[in-house]
Amino acid sequence: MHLSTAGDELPMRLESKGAAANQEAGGAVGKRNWRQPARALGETARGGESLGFNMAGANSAQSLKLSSVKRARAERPARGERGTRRRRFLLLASLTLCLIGAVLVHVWLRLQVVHMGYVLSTTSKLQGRLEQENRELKLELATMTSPDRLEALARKRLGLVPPEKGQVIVLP
Amino acid sequence: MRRSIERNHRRLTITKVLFLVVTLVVGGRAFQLQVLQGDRLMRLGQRQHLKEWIVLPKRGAVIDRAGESLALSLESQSVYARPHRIQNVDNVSRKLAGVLNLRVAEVKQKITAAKPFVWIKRQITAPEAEKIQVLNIDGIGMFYEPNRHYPQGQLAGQVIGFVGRDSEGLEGLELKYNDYIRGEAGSSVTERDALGRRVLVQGVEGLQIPPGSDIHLTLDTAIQHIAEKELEASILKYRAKAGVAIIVDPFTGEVLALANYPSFDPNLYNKQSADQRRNRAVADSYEPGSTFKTILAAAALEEDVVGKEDLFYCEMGKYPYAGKIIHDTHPYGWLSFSKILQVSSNIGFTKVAEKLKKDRYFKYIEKFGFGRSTGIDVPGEVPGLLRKAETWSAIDLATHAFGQGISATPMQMVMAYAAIANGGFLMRPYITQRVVSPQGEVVLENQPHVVRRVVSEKTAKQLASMLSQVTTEGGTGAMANIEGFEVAGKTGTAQKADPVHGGYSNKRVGSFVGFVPANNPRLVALVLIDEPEGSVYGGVVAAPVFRNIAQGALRRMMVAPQQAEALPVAANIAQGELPLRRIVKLSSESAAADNDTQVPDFIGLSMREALEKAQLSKIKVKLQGNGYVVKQLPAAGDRWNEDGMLMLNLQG
Repeated sequence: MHLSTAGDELPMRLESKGAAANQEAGGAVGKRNWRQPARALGETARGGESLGFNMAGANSAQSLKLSSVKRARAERPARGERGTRRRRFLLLASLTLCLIGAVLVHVWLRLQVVHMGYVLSTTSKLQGRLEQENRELKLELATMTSPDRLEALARKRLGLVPPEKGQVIVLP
Repeated sequence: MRRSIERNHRRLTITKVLFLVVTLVVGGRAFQLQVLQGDRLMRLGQRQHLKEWIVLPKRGAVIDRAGESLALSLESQSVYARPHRIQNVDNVSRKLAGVLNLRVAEVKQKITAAKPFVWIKRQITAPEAEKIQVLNIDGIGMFYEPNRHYPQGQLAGQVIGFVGRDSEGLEGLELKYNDYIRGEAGSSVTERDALGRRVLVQGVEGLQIPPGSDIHLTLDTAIQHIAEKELEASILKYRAKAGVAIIVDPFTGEVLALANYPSFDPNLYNKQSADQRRNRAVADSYEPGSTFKTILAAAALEEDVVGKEDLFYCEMGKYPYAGKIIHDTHPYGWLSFSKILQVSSNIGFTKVAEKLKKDRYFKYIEKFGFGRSTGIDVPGEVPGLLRKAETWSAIDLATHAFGQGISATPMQMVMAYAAIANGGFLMRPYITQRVVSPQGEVVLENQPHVVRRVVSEKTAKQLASMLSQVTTEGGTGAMANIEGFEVAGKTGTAQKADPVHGGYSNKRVGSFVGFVPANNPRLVALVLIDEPEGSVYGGVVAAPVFRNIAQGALRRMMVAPQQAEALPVAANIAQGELPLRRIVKLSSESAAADNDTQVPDFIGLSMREALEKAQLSKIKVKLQGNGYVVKQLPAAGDRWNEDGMLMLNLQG
């Protein structure tokens, strides 16, 4: 019982669904009937039906004037088909663009990685060289400040001698 | 119309077949390359663009307590050749000789050698290495080789030790702490481009292999230098064979200096003999002689066998004992115990040992750490030779009393004296403060470690005051006296055993062990001169070395003289251990008149002059700035404030 009722209603629903879809897609059509769904919604609520939004769309189709339905049926499919194609084309185009973009980004990233790899390699080489230089300088410093050398310099060049008795004054 | 459709069909079929064949061929080839030869080809490819980089271990540094480097590692490149791969010998040898500053013939000879591998030049400089890289000759290559440098040369050479060609520590601290300072070797695989340049696409984490840890020593380069210099001077003066000087902080056991003669320069380790390399302070034991009397004295005092003022008859220099005759250098009659120590009477100490008995004496010898290694962190330590008390004959008690018939290392000796200096604790000596990883973490830290309490603080204090008599006028160690400080110590002149004929030879070991300042010791030092000629006495050959080293070390450690001698004027008046108070009185008497009433004028004086003047008239001053006094508070001629403090502002 219930199933058959649903079956009766199905085509109509489908049809109106298409119409609803057309309303959304075709800008002009949608604009003309932009108040309709709201009113339909109100009626559905009054009718106590609980079939959801799609069912409400069907009711709205029912409540339209017959002439306007006919006119709509004559025009909408043609316009809808063209719209769908355009949409598909746009989708495809944008997908392709995205793909190309992604590929380009990937290639660019890859190049960047290689480039950074070179930079890193040079920098790490530089780091190694600087570290080595630092060690060399440390060695030089340690050699320069070795007490043996300092004492010889202090004695010869500066003429310093260990302090005599009384030359050391302890600060308070 | 129909025919053309058929024709199209045929064409279509042909095209289909064609495509199928092409696809199959391509697919087959792909299968062949990817599956059948895949592994081999992948390996080949990787060999082209992947390269393994070997990272050699970087050895950590050795640093003294003041941050001065004692050992550092550098990497330098060495050029090698694989002679069979070199094409144009003349050209190559000319180029190499030009870059490396070698003779062409020499290079040519090397690269024509019938060997698979020859070194052209080892450890070249960085600019040379770059030029070689640019030349890019087939068959010529370079290796990084780590290379150890000891910038201070022979300074503490035996302590630091050295590293062999393969970067392994072979002696000294380099050996002891090898596991810490060696560092890890490592390798990483990186990509390279067609020109062989490295491309670090995976980052550098894998390349960063941490170097080895640094070790921070307790040694002080400056004190070490003084010790080595003074030791060498005395050894040369007395034409001695060898010598040792050790300076230790008595309260912690930190070794501040450890000098050996003959010296050893680890930079040239393979050109020097094993005799030079040996760290005598721990690796050699010697018969200590009279310095050992202190141990007996400590035991006797601790066991309350004798008191400081107990009298002993010293037999006027000849004492028959157990079938032998014991001699003193100078004949003495009745002497107090402390006098016996001061003049180092063998007879007196034999009598003390008789009172103490050998078992108790032996117990203290062991307690002071003899016969067992000190546990210092340098390799090659020997425990010395200590015979069990049960095996001692009657004469052995006497010889042990004056330090013959027993052998000890210089390090054991210095630690025994440190125990007396620090109030009775035997410390474990150490020379490495800490090991610090490259990340700055302390991997290992040596803390002062008390091995055991040897004697009571009372005994230690008593003995210290007795030992300080040794360095006064009339004591054997008078030459160790340092102006301004009270020095406690003991001389020793030991006979050396004759290894060939048995018994004792006429060779001597002169030594001095002591600590300063006697009442609040900052350092314990031992000086040992092996086989001096001319004079052989420890009081003559070793005591002055002790004085010079300790004086320099105290100055370095900023220990102010405690006694009046250091004061410019008072120095002439004060003798020996005249207490400070006396001087104060002397000088304040002269200055008393204006001191109590009016403030003297300091303006215009240099800092030195101002301080001398202040010291003379016992004025407490506070200094600000450097140079000459420009302002004083209270002003000259004014009355003193209650605190009696004089503020001086100085300006350069």
